[in-house]
Amino acid sequence: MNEKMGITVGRLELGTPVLIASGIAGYGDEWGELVDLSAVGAVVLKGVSREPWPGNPPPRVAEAPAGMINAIGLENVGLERFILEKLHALVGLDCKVVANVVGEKAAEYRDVCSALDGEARVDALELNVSCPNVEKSGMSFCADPGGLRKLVRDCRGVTAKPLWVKLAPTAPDVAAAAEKALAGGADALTVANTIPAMAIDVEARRPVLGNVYGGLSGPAVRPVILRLVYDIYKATGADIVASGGVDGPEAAVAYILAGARAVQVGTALFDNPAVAGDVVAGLEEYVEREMFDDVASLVGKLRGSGA
Amino acid sequence: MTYFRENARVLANDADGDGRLLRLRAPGIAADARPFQFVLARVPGEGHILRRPFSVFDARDEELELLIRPVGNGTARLGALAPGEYCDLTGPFGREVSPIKGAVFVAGGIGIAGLFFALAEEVWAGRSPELFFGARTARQLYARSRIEELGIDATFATEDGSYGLTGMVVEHIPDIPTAKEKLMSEALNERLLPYPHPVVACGPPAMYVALRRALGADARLYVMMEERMACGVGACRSCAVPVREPEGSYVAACSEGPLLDASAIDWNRFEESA
Repeated sequence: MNEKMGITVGRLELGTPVLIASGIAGYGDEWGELVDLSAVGAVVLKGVSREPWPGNPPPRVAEAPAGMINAIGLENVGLERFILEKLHALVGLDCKVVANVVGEKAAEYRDVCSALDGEARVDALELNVSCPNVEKSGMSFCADPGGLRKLVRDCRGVTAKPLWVKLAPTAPDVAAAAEKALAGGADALTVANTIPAMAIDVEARRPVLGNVYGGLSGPAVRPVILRLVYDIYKATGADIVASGGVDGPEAAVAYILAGARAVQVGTALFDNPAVAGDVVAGLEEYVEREMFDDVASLVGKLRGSGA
Repeated sequence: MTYFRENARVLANDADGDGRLLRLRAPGIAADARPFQFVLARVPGEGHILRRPFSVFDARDEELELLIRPVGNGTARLGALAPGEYCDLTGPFGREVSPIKGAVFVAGGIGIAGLFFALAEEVWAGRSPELFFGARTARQLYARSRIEELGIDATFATEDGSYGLTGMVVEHIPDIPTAKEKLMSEALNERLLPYPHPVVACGPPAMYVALRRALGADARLYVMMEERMACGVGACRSCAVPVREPEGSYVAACSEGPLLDASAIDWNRFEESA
């Protein structure tokens, strides 16, 4: 592995700054040889809740211009099976593992964090306080920064592992939410989740998705998320993991210039399962060509930004 | 399970009714693919994020066939691939299934794409599968010449009467009690014998509902489930099929199916979302 690609996010050392976003790679091993996990710095696992969640009625996905809308509804096997079955299957995986934590109430987040604190295969925790597809699943925490700070502090109190907070792009004041998450003890921020959206089948005159609403992802959201990364980095200087429509090296470089220390690839994997490796190769080429020491020295190096 | 990603060269693209039958060179996928499995095809050019799922129509040596009915821009572009052009394929996906011996096959329209490979394997194994194949119209009774070449005992039906028997194919399956016979037996308080064969079906939701009603809940019925999907490997949980146990839960059509035992499916919730 190219040492110039190594970077730290919060206290977590990553072999490359390219991660796989939560929900795309399931519990880490489903894609088999189609996805080369040795190219990625970390895989963020599918969100896990204290009890199993069944998810939303189908259809759960719809294609959109330059993206897709999903309403999976955080279907997951629950904490007990997650630990017994899923984590143990990842023992041989040669990348870092980030567990994504979901819940309806603060106590549920805290219980999951507490249980995962003792699991050696989990390298960091990402609190999902931003899923648009589950009623009361955390999104309200981003709209109420005081509540967000308390939630993060509660979780911080039960785990020594690096703690990331995945913010909603539609919070009334995302920079304020970011500050509260950091004040609560977050090591890093994931910016951001999908954007609430919907699709309509005009022939059937029905919403496409069984859940009516879903979350938009893919290149369509990238300019919106890029601006949030830029604003949050300027306002807080926090360690940021950018997540929004990365489909190649150029998008990753843009996010890193805006202030991100790492990027997550998600939707693009459905089109190109090798996208993570392609992004890493492109980043290496950019760092060499532009004569930076390493990818870390590229973070926030945006010219003429008035920052 | 091994998945391949292959840039498959299009060897032939022939009209088949209102659909297209593509033959592609994809040695890895073709060698591993089993009946009831599928591939994901990347829509050529830009503008489509999601690959499109297609049943493996047939596979032998290093070649793979896909039957495509153009219904939108993505399937139209794939159906327009010319010989010599390439298609980015991943697969084979879906659960491997042991042959269901003595099965009667029921196809609805493009659903034949999900059954032909299994029918061909039955023939090669020396068995004589029976096929009931219905469609709206003759142009959607795909692959008729291939079915005839295999010497399959096939009954065709069209809703508009343009080929074969007229009406819904389910109504033409012998040994299934008709609605009238059912009423008679109820009146006489007699118990009808269950349908004697396992049934493997691939078609639209309405066909499954009609089949289940005709066969009764005790029948040995297996159905190919299709849902909008993204990953193909069971990771993203997009292609959810409602199942009875645990109550309120789902399985992924891509990795736990596409062929599912009908007795496991929660048909009330299925009909709500269909």
